[in-house]
Amino acid sequence: MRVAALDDDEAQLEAVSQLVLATGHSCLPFQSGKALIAALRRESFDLLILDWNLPEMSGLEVIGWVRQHVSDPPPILLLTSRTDEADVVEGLNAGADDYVVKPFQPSILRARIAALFRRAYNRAPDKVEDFDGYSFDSAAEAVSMRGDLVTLTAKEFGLALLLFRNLHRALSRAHILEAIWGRNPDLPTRTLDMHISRIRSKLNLRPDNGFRLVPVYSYGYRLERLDAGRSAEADA
Amino acid sequence: MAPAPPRPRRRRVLFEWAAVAAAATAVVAVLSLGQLAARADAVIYDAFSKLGVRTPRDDIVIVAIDNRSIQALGRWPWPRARHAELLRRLAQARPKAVAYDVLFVDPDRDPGADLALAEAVKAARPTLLPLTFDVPGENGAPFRTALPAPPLREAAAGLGQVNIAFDPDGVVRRAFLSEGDAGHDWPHLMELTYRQARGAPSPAFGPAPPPSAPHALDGLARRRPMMIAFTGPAGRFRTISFVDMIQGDVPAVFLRDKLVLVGATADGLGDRYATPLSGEAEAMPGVEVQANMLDGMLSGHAIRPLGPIGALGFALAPLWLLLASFLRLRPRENMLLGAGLIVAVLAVSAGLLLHGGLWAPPAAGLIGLLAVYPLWSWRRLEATSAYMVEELDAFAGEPDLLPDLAEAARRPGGEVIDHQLDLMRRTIGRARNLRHFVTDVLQGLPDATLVLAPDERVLAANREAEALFGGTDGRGLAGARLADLIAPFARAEGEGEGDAAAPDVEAAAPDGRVFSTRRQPLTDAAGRAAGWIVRFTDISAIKAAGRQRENILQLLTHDMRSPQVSILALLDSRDGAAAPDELAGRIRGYARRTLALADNFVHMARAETQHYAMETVDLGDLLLDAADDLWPQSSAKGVAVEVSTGDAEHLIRADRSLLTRALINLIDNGVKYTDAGGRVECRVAAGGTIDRPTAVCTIADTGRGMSPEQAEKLFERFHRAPSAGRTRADGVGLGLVFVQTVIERHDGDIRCESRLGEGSTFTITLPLETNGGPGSPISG
Repeated sequence: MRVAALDDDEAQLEAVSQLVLATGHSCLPFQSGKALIAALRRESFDLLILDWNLPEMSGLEVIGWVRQHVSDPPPILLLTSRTDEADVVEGLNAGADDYVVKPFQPSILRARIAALFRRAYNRAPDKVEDFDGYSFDSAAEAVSMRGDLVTLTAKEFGLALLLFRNLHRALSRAHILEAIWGRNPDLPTRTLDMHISRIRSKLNLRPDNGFRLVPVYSYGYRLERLDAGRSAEADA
Repeated sequence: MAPAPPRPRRRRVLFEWAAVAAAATAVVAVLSLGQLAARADAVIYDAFSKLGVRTPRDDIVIVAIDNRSIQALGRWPWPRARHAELLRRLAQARPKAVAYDVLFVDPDRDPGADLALAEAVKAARPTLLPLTFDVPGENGAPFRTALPAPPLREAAAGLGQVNIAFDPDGVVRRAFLSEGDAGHDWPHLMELTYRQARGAPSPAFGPAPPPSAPHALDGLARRRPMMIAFTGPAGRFRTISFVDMIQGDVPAVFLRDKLVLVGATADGLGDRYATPLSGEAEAMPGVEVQANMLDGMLSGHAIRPLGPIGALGFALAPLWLLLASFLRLRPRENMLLGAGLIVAVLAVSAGLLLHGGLWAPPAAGLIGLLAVYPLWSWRRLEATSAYMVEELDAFAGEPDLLPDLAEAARRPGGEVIDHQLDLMRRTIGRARNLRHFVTDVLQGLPDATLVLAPDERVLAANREAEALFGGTDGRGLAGARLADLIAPFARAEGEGEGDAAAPDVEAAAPDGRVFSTRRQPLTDAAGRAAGWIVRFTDISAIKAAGRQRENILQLLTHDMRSPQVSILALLDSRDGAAAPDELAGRIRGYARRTLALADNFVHMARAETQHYAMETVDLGDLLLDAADDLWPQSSAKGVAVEVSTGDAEHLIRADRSLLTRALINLIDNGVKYTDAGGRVECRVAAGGTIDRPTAVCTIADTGRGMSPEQAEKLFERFHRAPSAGRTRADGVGLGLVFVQTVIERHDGDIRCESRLGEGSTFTITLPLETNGGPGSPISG
């Protein structure tokens, strides 16, 4: 896969490029939005990793240009120092497919990149889908956790499967609600939170089990799988 | 200024009304039942009677014993033979009936004369003879019935009484159709005549048994009263002179089938009476009064007077109608209604008299109507005046905004009017001073301020407002519409949809200044909307400061972070690997601390902003999120973070992000101060009272703990817990201040209990969402 990385900071750009190359993909570094757009006019990429704050042309402006001018736009990952939750939501709403705050943990960035590739270039789902010890049987609407059958309601099953299929990817509340409950304006606002709370409990989606359900404030949820070996070097 | 209490005033008016109603009703009842207004009724009756003048019937003929007859035939009384002669003449003419209104009470000295007359009476059948009553009667009897002599008694076709009934003013207006005692009831001679003419009792006589004794006159019961409907003044009936009749000068056809009344009209005989229509000069002979009676009965003009109850009702009905309207209508309408009722009473009375055969005396009712209106006006004015003085008194006693007026001593005593005038003068003075005061206050306000009427037109504006909106003087803005004034204003950046006139918005003036507009409704003393006060505060400087703050936050969140991020990236790069490991680790540590500090400042700034995005959340979910967020640190350090939320939800209103960050800070604190192998226990439980249920969250660590004094001082801003040794935990002071700020903004409470060497327990109490019960179980 061809990845384009955009950052005005050379060290950062280098770090991203090394990480992408290490995962077996090719990576073209760009230091300005104009250069990236010039490249986008000529060739295509399978993933864009963009910084937000850039001289001349910001990451959001690049996203806007891509959405407007590229017929089949690749997934876009925002990688930025902006930590404020309002910024996260603004970036996602502007058209980014995911958002990672700098300094990034390599494991998380790898997982997010993989999630974006998986979603964008997905193969047809199997009848039974396995995710690290969780096995989803869509026909029977049954899920088993390391061989033990877990009883879920139909909505809980659908929600869990949606989250697992989009592992490491932020899903907006609107996205989840429409996928699981359809367009139902009368749905109580707490419904999603209650279902999330229940599948977290029933499927033990906790860090000591290797999974974490992260609320993306004012936006939605993201299911993450923790890399036990790497997580020790995480920080606040 | 308290609103005027309307109820006591209303009660007072009702009380006055009841008193006026009772007094007027009593007066009218006495007037009506006691017939005290009879004279007035008589005057009205006479006036109405003039409207009832009509042509006398031609089937009634009077044979008059007139002056000419007396001159021709000699002095009265005449011998019975002369009367017999007349009767014989009449018999030849074959009238329908003869009523001979001459008393033959005493037997003649010559019994033959009586017999001869009796023969003549028989011949002229039907002849009706009168009787009379002597009052008082013999031997103490109340009266004696004076009958005609016995032969005549038998010869007559009927005997009828001819008593005349005088009204108090001596005028004859009524007759009684039957008189007598319990034993015998004598019909009136004219009633008998009517029966001869029509073959049945008159309708006025009526079939019903008469009431026991409505009009007792010295023991003589007078029943069936009837008002006489006079056809006009005297001398209008067909009259034949007695002497002409005797001399045969009258053609028989003139009397054929007629009702003939014989009676005296001569001046000397004294049988003359004043009648409503007789005028002052000419009295009416008795026989003519009888003729009028008969005429009325035959023509259907017999008039029955209303009984006492009916008369009372007729007098009271209009009075009560007017009284009722006093409570409903305005004074002007009441006056018109009163005048209308007077006319109506007269009209109804006249109509009943002339066409209904009923005499309803109107005077009592009229007097009631005329008296009650001024009476009520007086009492109402009195009540209003008393209310006004009361209110003015109360107002004078209220605390005044302006002290010099409040000090004006109240002068007790003095004349009532003086007191009222004094009160009024002072009240007006206060109102004037208050207006000056309000104007001065408005002018003294530092912000541009407009006072608006409810229709959003400017009532008053101060100088700043005139300068802002371009008015030249105080008149310049008065009457202008708010919408026109603020039309050139643009909504400040960042404001949502809507117009600049909405309450509490920011608007940008054309010159670039930014104003915060705040509108406040004005109400009067009774709480009704009276308009608006709109204030325009120049917040350009505040806005500029806010932008600067945003810029600083921007600097912290991005510009200050970016170099640190680059440092870390550089250390991890191939070039960075050249640096010595120990040096690289220390650089990495400093870079991370700078990042953490920046993040803490950003969080703190967020916690102190105005806008919290409140939503309903389960506190247990937040605690799990916080614990999960810290898992990398806690698991790395070997500290177990245990969360027990129970099966129940604890729903609170919270900004999810900020409250989770606060919990993260607390758990992080616990992890930092706890050595490997220790525990941080997090719990949520229900608490509080039924009225104010709460969710209680405890975060307890098994760390090194604090002394009670340290725990007490923990929540002081930028206070850093002095830890044992030289170990320094990063940003703890700011972290706890952030926690405290966030919890307080959620109307919550945070406490810390700690013992040195045993650990610390933080307890957070947050109010549960009110419409969800405490700890409601999770349902499908």
